[in-house]
Amino acid sequence: MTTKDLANRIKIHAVNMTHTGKSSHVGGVLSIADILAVLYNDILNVYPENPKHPDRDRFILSKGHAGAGVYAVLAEKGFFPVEMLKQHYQNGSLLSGHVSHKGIPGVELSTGSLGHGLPIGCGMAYAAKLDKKPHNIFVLMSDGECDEGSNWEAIMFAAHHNLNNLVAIIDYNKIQSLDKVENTLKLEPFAQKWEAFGWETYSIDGHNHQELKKTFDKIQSNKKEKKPSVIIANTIKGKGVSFMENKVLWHYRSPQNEEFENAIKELKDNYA
Amino acid sequence: MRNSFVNALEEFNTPNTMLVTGDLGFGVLNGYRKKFPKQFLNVGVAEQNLTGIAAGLALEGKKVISYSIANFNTLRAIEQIRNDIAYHDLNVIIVAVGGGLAYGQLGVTHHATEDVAILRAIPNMTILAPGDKNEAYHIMKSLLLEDYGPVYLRIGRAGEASLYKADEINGIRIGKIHPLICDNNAKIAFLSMGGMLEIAKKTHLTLKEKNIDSSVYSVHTVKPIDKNKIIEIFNKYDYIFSFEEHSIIGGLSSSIAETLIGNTAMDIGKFNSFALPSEFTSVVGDQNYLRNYYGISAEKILQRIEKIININR
Repeated sequence: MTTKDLANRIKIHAVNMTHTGKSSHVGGVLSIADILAVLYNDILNVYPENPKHPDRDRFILSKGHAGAGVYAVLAEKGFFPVEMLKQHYQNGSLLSGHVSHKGIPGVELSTGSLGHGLPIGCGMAYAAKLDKKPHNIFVLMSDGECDEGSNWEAIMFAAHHNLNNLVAIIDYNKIQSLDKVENTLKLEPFAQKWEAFGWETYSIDGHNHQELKKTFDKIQSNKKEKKPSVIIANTIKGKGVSFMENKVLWHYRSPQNEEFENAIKELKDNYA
Repeated sequence: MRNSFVNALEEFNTPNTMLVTGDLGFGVLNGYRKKFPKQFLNVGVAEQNLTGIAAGLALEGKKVISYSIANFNTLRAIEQIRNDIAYHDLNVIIVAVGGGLAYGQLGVTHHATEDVAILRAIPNMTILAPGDKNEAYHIMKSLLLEDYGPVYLRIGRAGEASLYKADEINGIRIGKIHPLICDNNAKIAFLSMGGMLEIAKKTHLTLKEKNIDSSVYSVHTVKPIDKNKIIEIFNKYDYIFSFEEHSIIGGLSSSIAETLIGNTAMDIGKFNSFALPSEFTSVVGDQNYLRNYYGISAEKILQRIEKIININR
């Protein structure tokens, strides 16, 4: 499966899951589908048949509300049957709206409250350095999440301790829960902030698979820099479904009736 | 207690242990830092990050001790404790020094008087509050030798008494109420959490001088509470008093009362509690001053016990 195939499948799963569960956050899943696809297809060392393999790369979804995307990619990569995705949000199932590790192979960490993933990633990266282990830790965060002070504590820590095995990825879709990021709490000059805190900073198109892959590869070959790395992935909330793109509405709205049918049709048509 | 904790930590340290502090422990942690420099980590004044890092280290198989002053690595990071440590059921021991009013004059910010209530409510947490230096040492030793999952260890500061006889120290077991003094004819029992054990023992001795027998039990494990022992104590004694340097809400007395809910055979009317009122102190004072101010000094406790016993006689 190519990364394009995988990304498209994640998007279709996400629309289906948020439709069936009448759940929120489809826009924020669509904005990270390309990142997840490139990571799980080409970058992460993962072992679906042995999810806790000690040499695996650790992936943390800190924006836990996009959990449907992680469930989808894990199912597609064979961590559990794709059929299980139908249980998302259903009474009595394991697949909660915010990503949960309980009973779900391949989920490294449960999140949902923002600002938790990066500090934990720091702890994992510090442990890996201490034990001289070669795996890397990837933390995917939202832009709105960067309002949380706990992240900035972690950002300082990671640079201070030269955690070059830690990669943060920001889903910079520029829309948060109620409004645009710039109208809520300005992050700009965003890249300069990370740089000033001592991180290798890459600003890229978060939907361009080649650019994503190239950047991840560059980070691997740049390890002598002894700095943690951040990819500011410029993305579009709702990417792939025209009427969802760049709309605050689709942070919370669940696709129903015609909206659902049109979304699925558009994703399938575009792909074909 | 603080020194006993550190002694046990240095003595039973394993290659897997990590001591992580939020820039506190001046003078206390130096020995550990010198002996095990790679296992010591000062994350700076950042308790949310401290707790997240502790979770990350524990996810990688470390046994982590998160060290700070009570309230800082507890209340400041309560959500990290709940979601990151407790939900993931990790081997992190949150060690808070200065439980209760130990840092009396430093003011309300440093009074840890709701910590047990708040942490006790979180699933998977074990809540430990040793009553003297022996308990602090043995509990810390047990925590290093075995895995207990997420733990809150509430200790006082330096200089607390040693209340155990030498041959009894080995009887300290996490999860078990410890009978420190058992008078066969006693009709009064004291159940004490944390550093109030010294006051409980003192009260016992004063009553003894007045020919009134009493037994003293140390409830160093507040969660999971030793239900069987509590039922046994309620069956055996006519008067039961709990001692705690904690808010009346959610601490030891609440834990005891909770175990009796629905138990029609138990007379809860014979149970009285010595705890702090649910309020922020508006006076400045050291630990002893504040204990007295709030009615949990040995003198005030004795006065109230005598009143209760006389009324009921």
